[in-house]
Amino acid sequence: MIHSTGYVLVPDVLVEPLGDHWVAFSPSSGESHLINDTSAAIVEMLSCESALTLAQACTALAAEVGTLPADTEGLVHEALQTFVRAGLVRAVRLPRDTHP
Amino acid sequence: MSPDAHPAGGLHQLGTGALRQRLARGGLHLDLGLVRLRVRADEPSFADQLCEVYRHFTPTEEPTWSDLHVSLLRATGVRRWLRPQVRFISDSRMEFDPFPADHALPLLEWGVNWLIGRRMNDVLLLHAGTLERDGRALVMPALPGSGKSTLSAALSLRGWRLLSDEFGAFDPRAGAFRAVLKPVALKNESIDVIRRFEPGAEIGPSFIKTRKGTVAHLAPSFEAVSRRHVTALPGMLVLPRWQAGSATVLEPVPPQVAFTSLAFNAFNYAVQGADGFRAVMALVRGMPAWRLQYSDLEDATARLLERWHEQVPLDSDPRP
Amino acid sequence: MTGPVTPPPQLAWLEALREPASALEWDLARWEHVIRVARRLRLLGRLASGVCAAGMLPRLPAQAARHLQAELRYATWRSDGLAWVLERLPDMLGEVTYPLVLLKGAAYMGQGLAIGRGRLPSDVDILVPREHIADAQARLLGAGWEEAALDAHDQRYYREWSHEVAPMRHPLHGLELDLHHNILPPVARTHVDASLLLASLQASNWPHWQVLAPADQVLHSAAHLFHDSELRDRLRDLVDLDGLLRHFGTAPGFWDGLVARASVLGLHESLTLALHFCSRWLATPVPPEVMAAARARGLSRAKALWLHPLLEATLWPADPDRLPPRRQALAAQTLLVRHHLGRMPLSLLLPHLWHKLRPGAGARADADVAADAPAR
Repeated sequence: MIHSTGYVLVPDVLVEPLGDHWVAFSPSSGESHLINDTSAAIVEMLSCESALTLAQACTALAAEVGTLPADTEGLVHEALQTFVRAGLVRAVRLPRDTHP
Repeated sequence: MSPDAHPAGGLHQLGTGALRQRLARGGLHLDLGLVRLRVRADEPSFADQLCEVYRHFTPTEEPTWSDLHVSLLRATGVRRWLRPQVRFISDSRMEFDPFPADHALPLLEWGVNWLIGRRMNDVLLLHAGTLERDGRALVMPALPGSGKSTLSAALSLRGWRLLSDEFGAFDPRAGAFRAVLKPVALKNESIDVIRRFEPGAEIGPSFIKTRKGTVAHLAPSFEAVSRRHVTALPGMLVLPRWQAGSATVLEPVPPQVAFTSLAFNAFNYAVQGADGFRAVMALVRGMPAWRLQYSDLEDATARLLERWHEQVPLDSDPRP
Repeated sequence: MTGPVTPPPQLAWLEALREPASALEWDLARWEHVIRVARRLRLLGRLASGVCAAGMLPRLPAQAARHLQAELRYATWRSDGLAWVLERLPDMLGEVTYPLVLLKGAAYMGQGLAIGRGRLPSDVDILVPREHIADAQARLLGAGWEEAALDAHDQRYYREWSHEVAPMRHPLHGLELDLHHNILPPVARTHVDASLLLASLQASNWPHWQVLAPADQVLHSAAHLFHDSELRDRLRDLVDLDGLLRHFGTAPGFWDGLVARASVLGLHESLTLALHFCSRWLATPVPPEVMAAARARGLSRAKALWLHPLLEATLWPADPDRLPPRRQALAAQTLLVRHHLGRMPLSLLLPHLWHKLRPGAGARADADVAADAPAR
């Protein structure tokens, strides 16, 4: 079976607005990060229960921002990798046929 | 202010002979507010140095507890005569390299700060100069080039009560700052700056050629010592920056700058985990945050006081 | 079981690490003393963890409770940091065909043992098969880990003469990673066959990570202690051993298996020493026949006569108000020589020590722990 990657929010992550930025804390990595609006929007899309694929995140962000999914792919991919390293988000394997 | 004007009991009144005895035997017990310290020493010059800068502290007479146990011991061996040194030992560990024997006081100050920063994780320890006025705390994060110690010293000589020039010790359960009362370390030009600012300032001996250059210490006032257990609610956050020739500038900073100045400039923010995150968020939301650029100490302290009166609520102090 | 053993009174407080309730009767002076000694021995976090888990904190004197709370926070932060690195490591290594084995503290944490709580890990010890160690190291380097700065001589020492590659460090979190392929150096006079260890691996609670078999964990801990160069303040290792023996000791066949395994791996001396000190100082319940069997194969009487006192002097916790006694320093030095003799043949030892001792080598780093540099 071919797998794709989904992203879930790490449980107990704290995200708070601060002026026109946001601050996020990860209980897994113990790190605190200052994140901008776009990154915060991506984090808000994610949940602990169901995984979101890169494609789904791109589509959602594009709709919010008013652009094409392809335009957001680089940004979203970069953001998700950063979040994984920071312990805010976890990558999980999904069986191919769960992809819409 | 002359020490003779105050009731007997400070180290200054005890006299160096008696002090030397205590240091050599069971130890001298000093209550710094956040922690109780026991000091032992066999270095003779140390008692005089201690007397100068802890002059208004009264040693605890029948101590039942000390949080920190520190010994300043002369190094033994051949060294003793060639280049006498003093070692800093706590709980039979020597944590750092020895200092020259006549630099026992800077070694004590430096070492105790290190121990506090490493051990006292029951509170959030910001790296900041902290003073109290009207029951509230002025918090000045120790950014590079801030001159926070000089500014803390100056403010403490203009009616602000010193809590600490090094630690913003925030107790999240109490929602207030606690004093970690120790002499203010002044370096190089700051020593003369403060002498000019306040000719009566009680500054101890100068130590030359330390790692930080020349260092001297301003003794905490009698008032600061007697009120060291009185806490201060969050008041105002000020990010100072000394800039030669600069006019005094005092302007607001955005909350994310306030956040990073506290969180990424603390002794134990990361150790506090989620609690640390929440505490700093609460502080940022509860305190107006300003940037202060200055070169003239008098003008800076005056402008700060003005802003303080505008910004900080004068509600009656709810604490006992 | 061995007859009722009363540990020396100065070590009686160690019982509180297993039975926190025994600390309820301590007065303020005792608490002050224990906190200082425990801190020095890196056992304060463990004490705090047990006390907190037993819900005892509100019943303690406030002055003591705050130190326990403070240290527990610190230990939790350090331990969580280690757990995070171990969670990320399999991703960083990528798909590997060989086992990844946790050692020591990480292993205790990965099995959820009581001795895994309240620890202060400063490094990560993991084991991989010798033939794959270069591959593992290459993958780690590719993932951003860096080799600790060692010159060519030290690098060769670690690779050829010892069982470790040079420690690696990650710039982001600063934890040091020690990659092992055996539990003792291959050139040491005691040679352990690593393939035997690898053949008995068990699962841990953490995905992708395995641990040594229980007997092997005990023997590793014992060998690591009694073959090491620095035994001062190592009482914690005896406490760990006691914890392992109590935890695994209830499993049927464990004790017989332990003695047999010690013979197979060539670690009977370490085991005998471990059982000797654990039973006398920590009242570890060792079955008498096991004690006898271990003694029969352990040290000769003659050797015990000089080695036991040396070890006692070195392992004994120092009075917190004094610098360690001269006797202890001398004992430690003697053991250091023994360690080096055991670790390398003389022909290799001399050039190595010369390299270490020559002027300028390993000059002590300037301990510029300035008071106003935040310690993270």
